[in-house]
Amino acid sequence: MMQRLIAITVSGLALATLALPILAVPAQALPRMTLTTSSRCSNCHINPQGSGPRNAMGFYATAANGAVTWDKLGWQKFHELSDNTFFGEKLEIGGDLRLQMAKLGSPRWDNDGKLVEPDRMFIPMQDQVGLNFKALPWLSVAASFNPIGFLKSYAGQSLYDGWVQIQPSVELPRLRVGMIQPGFGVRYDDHTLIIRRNPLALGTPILPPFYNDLGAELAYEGLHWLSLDVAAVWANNLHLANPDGVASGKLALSARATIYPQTQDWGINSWLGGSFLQSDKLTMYGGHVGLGKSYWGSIMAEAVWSQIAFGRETFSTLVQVDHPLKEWLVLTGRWETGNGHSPGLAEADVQSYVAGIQFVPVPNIELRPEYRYLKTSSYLLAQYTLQLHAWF
Amino acid sequence: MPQTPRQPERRQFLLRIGAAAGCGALVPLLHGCETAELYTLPPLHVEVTFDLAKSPYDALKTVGASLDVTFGNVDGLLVRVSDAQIIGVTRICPHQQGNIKWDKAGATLVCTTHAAKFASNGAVTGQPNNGDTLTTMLPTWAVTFDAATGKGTVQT
Ligand code: FES
Repeated sequence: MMQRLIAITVSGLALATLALPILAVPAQALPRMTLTTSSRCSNCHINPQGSGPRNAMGFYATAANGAVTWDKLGWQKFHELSDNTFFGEKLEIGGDLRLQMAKLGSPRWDNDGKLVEPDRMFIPMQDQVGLNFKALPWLSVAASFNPIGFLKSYAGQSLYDGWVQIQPSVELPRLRVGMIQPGFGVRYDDHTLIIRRNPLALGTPILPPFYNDLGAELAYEGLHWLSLDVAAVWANNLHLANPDGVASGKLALSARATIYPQTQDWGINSWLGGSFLQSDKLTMYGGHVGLGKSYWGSIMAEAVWSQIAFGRETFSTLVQVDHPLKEWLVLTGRWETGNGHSPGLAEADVQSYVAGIQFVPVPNIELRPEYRYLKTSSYLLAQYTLQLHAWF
Repeated sequence: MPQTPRQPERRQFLLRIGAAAGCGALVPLLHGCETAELYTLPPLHVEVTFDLAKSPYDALKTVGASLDVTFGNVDGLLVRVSDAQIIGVTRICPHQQGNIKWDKAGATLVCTTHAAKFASNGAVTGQPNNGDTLTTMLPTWAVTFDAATGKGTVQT
């Protein structure tokens, strides 16, 4: 077992260091999975909010999903690796590496009046390793590290998260204390989404990817049809992301409630919820709704309104449709809008359409070719992008 | 013991490889649909004369002062960097179109979005704080200035 532990840790660290030379954004859960499998993010991820490394269940669930499994390629040992737990399932280890190829930024005029497109770049978005140690049946300690943030990050993005979790039983509330993200809306695995950004300055997210602050969260998922969470954190990173609205060290409070209506006969799963976040002069409200069925796919929508008192106001929406042709081949379409205005600035309108494929050629490796069409008040940029995601 | 027939497995394997190849073929197709447009006009090149005795240019009487201007269709910034010199730059950051301001204390041009810094000749002296590497210079204007008369010209 020790050999396996060393092998996985070494390959994880190798994955992590491989991507070091560029940037950092964490992987997050695929929300569509909660709609097609009728499962919560916390069932598969170490982070109960559904971000980054997977727990034993999450690891197992993806271990044999691929167009071609490792055994067919002669990698029998790799194929048999269907669990990431050690010491009698007390320790879970996971990691993610995500590289994106895209044109970042916007077109511009050069001084001679020639349109210049942004360069296509390879961006390591995520380089995260994490673990969860279940010290006692009711007490666990988890942490993850995303070292690429040393080199590239959004303002307010953190390098790590980590918490101590107390939960006497799954039917009872769960308390997490540490470096956490206050719950708000749906967490996606794509940091280019407009829904959490400021449409007036698309390069600056309101809630950055892998945003975390020091604080506590109380969550309840004891009923199959309801989840609730409230959090209070010191808004140091939230201040860096929103310097015009949140003073450093202020408290940020969040609350989120989601209900999960299901029809047993039709096998249809859904969720419907709302979120609230407030810190200093920043207030945010969000609503999310999703509908899905195994093998059919899912549709989800989200709306986020944010306001900085006497300052900018933004409103963004997202609609995403996913249809699995196979477990390892999923068609995706997304439409987003964003509107922002602020005293002294021209109103900003943003529309984004994305069509793509989530393709898992072999287990634990995903390719995501996408076509992205982004139109703002001042420019249009349509491009194809490619994402590579490897995890263990 | 009966043998498991091999044929279906191979067919399935080939089908999957075919599907993968199909996905790959989409990429060059999409490449043909790439496009970029700008809804602002290309920069209009104009020549503007100014006189520090007259508003709004009187704002540049003191060294270290700056003035937001729009010449032609381009937003720019004039800065009195010394007794004898006024510089002119566009106010649009070449990184992600943030707004450029003059930081009097640091005597440098700074972007308000990711804090990239530029020298008075437009050269990048500080990288954006989101980790991107910026190599494109901030476009500058040719400025003549006669401190004795307080008059000058800007060519955008
Ligand atoms: S927009 Fe100016 S530094 Fe990013």
